[in-house]
Amino acid sequence: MKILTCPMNGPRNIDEFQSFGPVRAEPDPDRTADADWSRHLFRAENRKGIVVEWWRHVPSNYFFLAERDLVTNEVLRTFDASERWAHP
Amino acid sequence: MMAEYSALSLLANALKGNKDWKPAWRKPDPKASYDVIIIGGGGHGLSTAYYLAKEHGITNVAVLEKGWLGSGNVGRNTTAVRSNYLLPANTRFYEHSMKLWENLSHDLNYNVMFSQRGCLNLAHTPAQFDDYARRGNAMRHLGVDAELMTTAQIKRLIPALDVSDSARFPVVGGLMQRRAGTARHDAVAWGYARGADRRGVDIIENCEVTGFLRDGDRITGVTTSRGDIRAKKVAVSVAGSTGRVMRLAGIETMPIESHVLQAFVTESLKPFIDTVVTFGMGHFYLSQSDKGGLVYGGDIDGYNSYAQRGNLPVVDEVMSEMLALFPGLARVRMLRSWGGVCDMSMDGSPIITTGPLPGMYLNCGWCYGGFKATPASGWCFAWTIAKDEPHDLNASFTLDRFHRGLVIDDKGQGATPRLH
Amino acid sequence: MAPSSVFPFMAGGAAHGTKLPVGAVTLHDLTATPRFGLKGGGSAAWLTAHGVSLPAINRIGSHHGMRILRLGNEDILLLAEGAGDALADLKAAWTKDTGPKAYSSWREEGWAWMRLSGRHVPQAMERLCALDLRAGAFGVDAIAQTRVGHIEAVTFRSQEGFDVLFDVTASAYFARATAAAAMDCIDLPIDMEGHI
Repeated sequence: MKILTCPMNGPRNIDEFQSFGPVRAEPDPDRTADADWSRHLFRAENRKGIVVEWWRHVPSNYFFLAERDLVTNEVLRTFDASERWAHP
Repeated sequence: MMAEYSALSLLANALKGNKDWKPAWRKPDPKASYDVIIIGGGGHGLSTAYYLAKEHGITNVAVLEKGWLGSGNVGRNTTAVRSNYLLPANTRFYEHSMKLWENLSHDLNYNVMFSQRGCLNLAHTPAQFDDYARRGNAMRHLGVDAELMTTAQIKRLIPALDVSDSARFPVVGGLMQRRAGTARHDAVAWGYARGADRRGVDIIENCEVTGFLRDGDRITGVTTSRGDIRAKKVAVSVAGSTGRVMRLAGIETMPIESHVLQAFVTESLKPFIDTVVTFGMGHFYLSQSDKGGLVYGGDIDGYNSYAQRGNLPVVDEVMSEMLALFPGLARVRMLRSWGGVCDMSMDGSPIITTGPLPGMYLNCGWCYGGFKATPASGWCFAWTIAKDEPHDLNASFTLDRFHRGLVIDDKGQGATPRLH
Repeated sequence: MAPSSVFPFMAGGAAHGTKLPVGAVTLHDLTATPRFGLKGGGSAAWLTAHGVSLPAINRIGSHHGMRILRLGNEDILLLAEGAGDALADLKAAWTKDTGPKAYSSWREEGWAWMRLSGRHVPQAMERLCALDLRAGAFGVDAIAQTRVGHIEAVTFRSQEGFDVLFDVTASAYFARATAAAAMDCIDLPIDMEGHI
């Protein structure tokens, strides 16, 4: 994992990027029970396998999504965040 | 008990051609059942077994290790030992560990080469220096040694350090804990293993836990690559793989993420630095091993990972930080680098607790500071297993503290594991 | 104080005393040259409504002598070298506008603007930046948002060589990094008096 392909800027050295962690559910704080909310804040699935996570291309401050294997560090694909909500 | 290792035994064995040394631990086959099973043959699992036997007389114990003994983080860390924390729960716990370290070679009859060479945190701004004064006072308040050092004192202590005004981040002072230092990490694993083995504990290597045996909610044993093993109590001590092992017990989420931490060693040099030094403007720490290599490391890799190897940007960053402090090391060759998987917890502090299921005990969340905790972690975990309740020293390290608003966030970063 | 003395080499500032390389690689400080950045939802719409035709992302367009740099869907930077009046007019219109108009990204204060020129610029850029910036791969209307001299930067071609925009607080560092790259890639001495 030396090069990551930014959907906006193309293939770049990995040191141009910053990870923002796995994509998580976005519960509505007004309609979530306290126990579920603290679970949302303090618990992580932390699966050994493929996750979808947020990355930021730092020089352009562009946030996007990547599918990555946490064991091999292989990035399967990167895509713009709009794709996630366009094709659920 | 007569010491197994002594000057006399060394001489006697030397005269007999070193053919009669007993292996430091046996290679037993697993029995059908034990009083206690400890999952994980790392530093913490082995010290837990040792203190269970020594302090609580519980010797019908098995330590199950997936690979070989000490193949995980106990053999991958940068060996620093210190108790310079801010918050009382951490300070008391790590100071207890420090006291165990100070007598460990004697206690184990095994030279863990604990060297109290001091640990110096460098301050690069007046505000940081003030913050160190606060932390030093907090430490001294709890009976831990701490002293502030001026730049001139630091220059005398570490001549190679760039303390000039033209340094990238000029040094304005530092916080020193003289009783801190380093230990030989493999010896710690081997010493605890032998100490536990000689008291009757079965250390079973190449034995991977594949699931839990249950009676309703209660954990009654484990399934392994070497067959089913029953136990009254099952203790999980697998930092780095906590999420995976807990999932085998049906616990789907933990207050932990797995991240990779790298470490580095250079070629051997003549005596260069006789303390542990940490950088205050980035994440970097360095000491010199007894062989002469500089042992150093930096921050975690910056993204969740189960790969036991590191990435290049952190290599680049760590080298830059080293040169910011020690410009004279620019031509020194790095020999090796490696990575280990850390349990990064939500508040940067560990978990040593009963549960979360009946018959289960949990020790995890050591972030990248687990090595120095090895004695106290095992000591407290053994107490918790033996008495079914935590000792005062680990009473705060619960699993439910996050939900109860009782986090122990020494760094003040909030619930983002990669930032601790 | 004259505008040209405000950024970034002002007396007493972080970059004070840093000299810029001159010779086979020359560095020009254009930081005081007018520019205007808009960012956030509505940036593109506001500019389009004011007659600016926007290029694609990471491409450069032009409008009344200004260069229009599209750094993101809603992140646009206008550079006005010799078109200060046109830029001032647009900026005044934006300031007066009480409707939706996105946000000023404050590029005039936050970013240094340096121009590399001289016959060894291509070789120096090879050492400063990992991207392929040769003419065949990187045209006159292209923008690279990347790292130059190990710092986050925006770079694009100018008539003389390359322009680089980056965090103004890294000015002295950038000058030294450029000088070091220049020394590394040529045998001929350049004027390096006091530069490193």
